[in-house]
This record gives sequence, C-alpha cells and structure tokens, in this order.
Amino acid sequence: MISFQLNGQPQSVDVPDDMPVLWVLRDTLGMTGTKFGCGIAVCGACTVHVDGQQRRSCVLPVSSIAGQSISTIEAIGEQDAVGRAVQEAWVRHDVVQCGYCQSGQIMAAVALLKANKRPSDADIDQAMSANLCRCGTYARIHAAVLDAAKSIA
Amino acid sequence: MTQKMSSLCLHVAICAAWLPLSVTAAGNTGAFQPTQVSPTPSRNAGLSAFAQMERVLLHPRCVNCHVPGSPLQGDFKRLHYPPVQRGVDGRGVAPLQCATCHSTKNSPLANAPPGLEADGKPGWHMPPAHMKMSWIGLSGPSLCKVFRDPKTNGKRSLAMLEEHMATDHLVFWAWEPGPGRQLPPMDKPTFDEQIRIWIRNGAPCDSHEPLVKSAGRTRAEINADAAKGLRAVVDSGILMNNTSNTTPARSLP
Repeated sequence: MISFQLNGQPQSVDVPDDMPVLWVLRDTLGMTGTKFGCGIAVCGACTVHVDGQQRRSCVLPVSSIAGQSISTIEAIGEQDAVGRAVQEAWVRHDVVQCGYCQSGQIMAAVALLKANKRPSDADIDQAMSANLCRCGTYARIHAAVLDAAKSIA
Repeated sequence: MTQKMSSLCLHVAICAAWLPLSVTAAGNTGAFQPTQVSPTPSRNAGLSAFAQMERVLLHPRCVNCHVPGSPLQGDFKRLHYPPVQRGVDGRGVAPLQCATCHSTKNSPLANAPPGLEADGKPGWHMPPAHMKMSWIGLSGPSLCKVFRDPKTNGKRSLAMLEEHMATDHLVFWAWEPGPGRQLPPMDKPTFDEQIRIWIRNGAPCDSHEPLVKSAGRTRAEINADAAKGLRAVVDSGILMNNTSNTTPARSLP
C-alpha cells in the first residue's frame, strides 16, 4: 500500500511499486484529467506537481511519491490562487484548440508562475518549451501566461 | 543551561551518535579499498593509464554534464532541449528541474530522457554551481590536473576520486545509458583498472611534476575522524562546563 496526499486529501493505493503515477491517477483512481501523450516524458501532457514541482507522471513510479503531496489538473484551479488565475487567463484568451495537451500546459504554467511571478517573454518561452502542442496554440499560451502573471502581481 | 547551548549540545550529541552508524553502514556495505601509491611508481605507466581514462572522461556520457554552463545531450554533445539551467545544486532551476523529466530509470524506448534512482527518488543531476567540474575544452595534462586537484574535483582526494569512479551510481549509468546512446570506449572494469594504475603510479599528469606520494583519505576515514572528534567533545563535558559561566537569562519585565 502506497500513501500520499492527492489534491490535499490522504490517498492510499494498492498497486505495484513501479506503476507510473499517470496509470494510478487514470486507471486506479479514475482521474482522467491528466493525459497520456508520448509516454516517455517528452511532451508534457502528463504533468502533475509533486510537492509543488512539476513532474512527468508517465515515467514517475508511484513508489517514489510515497508521503508526498500531488496536485493534478482536477484541483489546481480550485485549491490554488495561481492555478485559478492561470485557468481564468486560459479562458479569456481562448487558448484551447483540441485541448489534449492543455492539462499539462496549465500545470507547467502554474509551476512557472510559482517559481517566477514576473516572467519575461524569454522565461515563458524557456519554461513552456518542454510542453508540446500539436495544434500550435503556443502564441495564445504565451499571452495567457503573461496575463495570468499580471493578474497575480 | 541556555536554550542555545542546550540546542548545541543536542546537535553535537546527535551528530556523534549518527556518524559512527553511517561509517559502520559504509563499512558493511561498501568493500571499497583504495589503491595505494606504489613505492616504485612508473610515470610512463601512469600517463598511459590517464590517456585511457581521458577517452572516457571526454565521452559524451560524461562530458555532457561536465560543462561550464547548461548541460549538453546526446552522442553529438548538442545543447540540451528543453533549455534547462544548472541551478545551485546541479538539479536544475524551477520550473524545469532535472527530475521534471528524468525519472528513476531509463526508458526502454530510444530518445527518452534517461533516468536514475537515488534513495527511491529521481536522482539525475550535474555538478553543482560552486564546483562545476567542467572538462569542456581540456585534454591531456590540463584535464588531468583539473580532475586530480581537490579545488576543482569536488574536494576529493585520489582515494575519494577512485571510490567515486568505482561506486557512484551516476558514473555507472554511463555504461547503462539505455537504448540509442553510445557506450564509453572501454568497459567499466577496464576503466576502473586504468584509474588504479594511474593512482598506483603517482597520478602523473605531465612529464616533469613530482609524483603524488599518497592517495589520501577515503570518505569513510574522514567520517570516522569527524565522529571521533565529536565524541571527544561530548565525552569531555566541555559543553556542559561552559554553561556554568554563562549569565542567566534575565526574566522579562
């Protein structure tokens, strides 16, 4: 049994130690907001926060998060002021096209704004470059991150 | 006893109690025995061994992270993508840290970020900012001296260097880098043997400087000495005695 905090609530799962966190979220706990993209930690669609730091859940064994706090897209806009600001900016800028990568994009944007409340254009390009969007919504993502930064300033 | 002194005593006592345990654990688990410098060293044999070591040290599996700035990647030493930074501790800068993408083990698929476990957590890292251990642009004697000098090698004696190369999990990773990555130009046991030959022959870096006479102390020996020193402080009671001279804290008005 592996125990951790999930979106502020205690959670225990009886799964193999090496099961990726993404599988635990989606298949064991039924939380499908976090997406499977590349499966090799390259695209960022599966991004979650572990103790406030972004991690690619598709390659992260669940045993490695025992005792830690996990935040996912399901709660980031409800329990977190930065998360709320990012999601509101996402709506204002109508960022989403197909939407598949956007859970990861939002989690990455929140991680950026928690580390750097006033990111420059270069900071945003650098931080968000690790999350891929096949619809090419990068310009709107960039604008929304800047807007969210202003709203939390 | 003042609160500060009480805290110091507790801290020293905890350290004194902990250190011998760690030393014992290291002694039980690690059978590492450092190579001693020969009384009759051969400079040529040592220089030849370092020439072999250099082929590994400058291989992309090692030098991609032994850089002056941000890491490189791949077999062609390209700039790392995404554009991450070293960070103070060599583990990246939030929001993009090494552990963001580098998990606890290699992927079975090519082109995936490699992984490494340290105490059950993602352990990927590069040298810290205060000790970059950059080897880019160096070769021969210049590389050898940076590698050997404790001021530029992470404060390691020759014995610690050997132990690091022989037992560190990140060094081991170079020989198990996952699919799609070149291996260093010799196998791990051969590399380890070249280090032993180099040290046994005085760790020479060029044709004229004096040879090193001693491999120095291992990490376990330094820890044992530190534990002994802490025990001596605790056993002497000096911390307790000193408190008798301290001025009692005034009561608040």
